[in-house]
Amino acid sequence: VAAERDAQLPACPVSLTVNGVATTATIEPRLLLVEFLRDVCGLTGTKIGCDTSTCGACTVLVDGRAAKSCTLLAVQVQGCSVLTIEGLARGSELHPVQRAFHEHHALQCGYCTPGMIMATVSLLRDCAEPSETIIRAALKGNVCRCTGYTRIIDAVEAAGRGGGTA
Amino acid sequence: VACDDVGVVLNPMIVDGQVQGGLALGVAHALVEEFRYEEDGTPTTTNFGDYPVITVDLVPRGQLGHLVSPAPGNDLGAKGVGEAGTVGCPAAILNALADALAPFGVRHVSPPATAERVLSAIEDARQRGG
Repeated sequence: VAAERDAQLPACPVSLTVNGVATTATIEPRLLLVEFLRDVCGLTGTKIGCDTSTCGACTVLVDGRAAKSCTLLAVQVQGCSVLTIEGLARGSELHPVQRAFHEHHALQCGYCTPGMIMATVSLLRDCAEPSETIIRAALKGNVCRCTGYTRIIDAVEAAGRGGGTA
Repeated sequence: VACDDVGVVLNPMIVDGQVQGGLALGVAHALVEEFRYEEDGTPTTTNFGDYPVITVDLVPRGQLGHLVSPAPGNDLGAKGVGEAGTVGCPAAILNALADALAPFGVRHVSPPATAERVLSAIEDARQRGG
């Protein structure tokens, strides 16, 4: 049984778009999307916090909607368009949500920040000017140990008012 | 309300960020977060599913104030502010809870004061009172 468990599964091809770039790789079918992004694509901005879909540090956009990339297999997003924190800025110009987080001191250690920002981008696509109540409901899948959250709420409100949609 | 003496405040935004973060940690310790162990010491809190890190929907927005007594030992007069709001917060919450539950004969609820613990404290007090 152990040999069966440890045996490498046959590699399989996967093609998807990552931050606008067509990407093809041959991977083990059990590879998680977050591992694909970090280890295959080298995009380490997406963090692994809990590996159990509880903390939200690994949040990315899959076809424009927030998804926890530790709970998706890379092969599940075959043909999809994935956006990570690295894909938000236009050159040296920060995305409005990134700028709002910077201006409102919405981060301290920064580990939750990529996931918070991607969850916020997804929220603002659904609801351009969310109230504090909506923001609190929408971001409760993303935990932050440092900030006490209020400055994150302030940043999301500001990004909404400033039209922070990608 | 949280009011700390962090000495001379060099960057109010960062200082307030630290105090609000500390307040959230204090609320978490008082009401939500706990490491649990079995009788023999085996930890039963082993992942974020078992350990509910406090989330954005549960953290109040603190009213923050400053007392400024410059530190004498350095030219800036600055002290430290790391997680400054944490210390007083659980005591304030649990004392308020004990005060609110005094009519039921409850004198103390151990943190984290979950709904289950509050109810069992009331039940214990009722049985003690006969």
